[in-house]
Amino acid sequence: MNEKPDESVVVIENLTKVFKDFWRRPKVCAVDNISISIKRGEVFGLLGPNGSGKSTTIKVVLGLLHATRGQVRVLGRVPTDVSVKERLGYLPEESHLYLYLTARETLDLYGKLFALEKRIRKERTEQLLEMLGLVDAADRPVGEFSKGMARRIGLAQALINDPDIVILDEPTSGLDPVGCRQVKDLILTLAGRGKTILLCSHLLADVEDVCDRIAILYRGRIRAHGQVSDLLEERDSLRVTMPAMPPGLTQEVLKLLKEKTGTEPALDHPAMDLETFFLDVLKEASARSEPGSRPAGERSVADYLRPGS
Amino acid sequence: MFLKTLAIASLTVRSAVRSRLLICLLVILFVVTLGIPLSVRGDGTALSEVKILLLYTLGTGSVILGLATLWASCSAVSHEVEHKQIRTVVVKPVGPYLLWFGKWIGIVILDAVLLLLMGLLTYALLFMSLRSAGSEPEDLGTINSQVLTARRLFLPKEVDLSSEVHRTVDELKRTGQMPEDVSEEETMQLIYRRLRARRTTVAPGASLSWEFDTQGLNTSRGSLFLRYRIGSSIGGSRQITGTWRVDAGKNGDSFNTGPIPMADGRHLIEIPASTISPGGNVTVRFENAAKGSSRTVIFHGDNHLELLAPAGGFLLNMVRSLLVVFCYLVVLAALGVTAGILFSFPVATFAAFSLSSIVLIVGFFAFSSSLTVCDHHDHDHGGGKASVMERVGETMLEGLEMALSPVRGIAPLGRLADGVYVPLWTVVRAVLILGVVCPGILGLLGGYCMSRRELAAN
Repeated sequence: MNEKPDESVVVIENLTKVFKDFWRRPKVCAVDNISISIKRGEVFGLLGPNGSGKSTTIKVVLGLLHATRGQVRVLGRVPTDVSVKERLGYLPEESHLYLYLTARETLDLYGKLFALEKRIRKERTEQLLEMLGLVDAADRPVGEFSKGMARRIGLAQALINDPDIVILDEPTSGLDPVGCRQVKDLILTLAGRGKTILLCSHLLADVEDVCDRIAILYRGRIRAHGQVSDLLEERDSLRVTMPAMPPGLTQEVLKLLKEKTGTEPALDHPAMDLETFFLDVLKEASARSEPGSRPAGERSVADYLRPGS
Repeated sequence: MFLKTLAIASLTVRSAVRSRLLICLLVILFVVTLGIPLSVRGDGTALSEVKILLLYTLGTGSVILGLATLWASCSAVSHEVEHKQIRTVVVKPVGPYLLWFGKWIGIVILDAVLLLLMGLLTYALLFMSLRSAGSEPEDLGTINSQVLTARRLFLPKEVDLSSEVHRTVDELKRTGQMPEDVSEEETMQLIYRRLRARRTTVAPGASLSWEFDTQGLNTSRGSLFLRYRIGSSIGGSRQITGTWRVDAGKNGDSFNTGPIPMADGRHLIEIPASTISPGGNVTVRFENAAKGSSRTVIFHGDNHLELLAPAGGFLLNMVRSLLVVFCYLVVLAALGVTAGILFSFPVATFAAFSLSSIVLIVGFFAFSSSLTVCDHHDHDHGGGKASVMERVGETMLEGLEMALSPVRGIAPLGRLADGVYVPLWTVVRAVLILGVVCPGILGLLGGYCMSRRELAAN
């Protein structure tokens, strides 16, 4: 399975998924004849409201559901192929963990399912716990975790095998802004290493921040599909950003623009988004209370997930 | 593959430990092991106390373990499907067959630990009770020779009655007494049953003899025993007088009890080992000494006469018995895991318990040769034909009976409490059929169904 850099690693062709009742009568058509192709190293987002078919599509890609019509190929093989699963990482919509296992035991279990050597399992477990800020809770049962902590350990289990394809279903659900930022940074880091990410979310800002391409689903069908920049770009307007000018000069520039274009130009100060502001506040507070400590949200990425490793 | 199997198995074990199922089972088994000998009363003899400890305690403990095995194995997969943890496991490189195998091994490990603990506790209790009870030396001798031993069981040779049946039929034909409303085949069966019945009754003054093939018998381990079960034609507790004579070996040795009184029920006669020379035939003869009265002696049951010869120690026999019990638990675990893959937890539990019950009931009917549903003919009304439903039921029962026939009669705990040797072949048969073949078939079915099932449909 040596794939070329621009090769499609996930191919969905005319996929239809119809859920049936006990008597095998069609109940609901969750996915209706969709086709998607995801290239290696791409971050692909599946967007849509609840019940639009995002999770169903992901579950078919994972082999958890069977296609009613059409076909799905992952790394050129059927999704249920064990060799495909060796290279997959999956974070479900809810973490679905074994509540009686501790965080460390959980990661060790999933490491064993990939037949990782004990030394590698131990190293990766510690690195992931450190990366996700769960070192202090490593020996607590997962059942005692908050939703955000469970989400983090769910993400860790999806990355324990250093997968080539990472499938994330609502990865930021239940996470605080720090966790959200961290997940998005992680996605970008993984993409930088040539990993393919299939992301499913209804949080549009998250998708916009990290995805190269998106598909918007509604009632099981693709309604829009393409590069994020292409889809969002407003080609009939223009924004110029420059350092602040004296008020008189600003008025002159505006007057000139109005004369030349015949339209009233809009003027405002660029604003940072709330997430960046929030993280800055935390960074500052953290540095003040514990000089020299690493601020929340700036934990390092696990060594084995870093570029070049 | 080993690491993956171990991971899934250890997950199952951890689940049982941390959900306190294991602790709960340990407490129940402890209470059963200690409580049953205190609550069940035998006939007051030390021998019956020991038998109760072995049969009832180990039997009840095994039944509890069997029920717990079915319950735990049904939940092993179905619980994870319902709580969706299975989704994070099946997307890992774990094939459906490996997943089934791992879950099964986990339950089997738990069973092995629990059964071992129960066996050790019973063994310790057995010897502690023998020491502390201050039993009479004579009682201890009886216990040692009849329970804390492993005696090989010899049954009389089957007598070929076919020539006598044919002769009787020919005679009936010659005299024109053949019944017209019954086929010749059925007449032959009736005659065969009547002749067999004659082989279990002894009229006053008459005698009956049986022949035993004692191939493989070892007389160096101590006395042999002749065990028989009788009743009289009058019934009640009135005594019968009879004489047993054992003629054995090439050197013509014989043993004669002389006329001995005997009540209805089961009896044991000790035969000196020197009487029998191994490798030959032993002839046992019973003479009904009740002359002048109408008290016919009837030998009850299929195994109405047995020759018991010491063949080994108790501990090894107990290990073999528990190994057979373990094989039963192994097949129950396989059934439960497969049912858990096919159905939700309540349905899986119901299906597995129902199937086990059907197997037990059919096994019981087949064992007692009472499949009367197979007899279509209504002799009183000139013979009626079976309905379609009866035929379907009959075919199903016959099929199940045929499927069960290899494991029928593997009842190790009864043998252990009776001091009867559990042959190695029985253990091998149990391991092969119950430990390998049945779980193998159920595993293939479970793995296939797992590969076909949509695990994220709910």
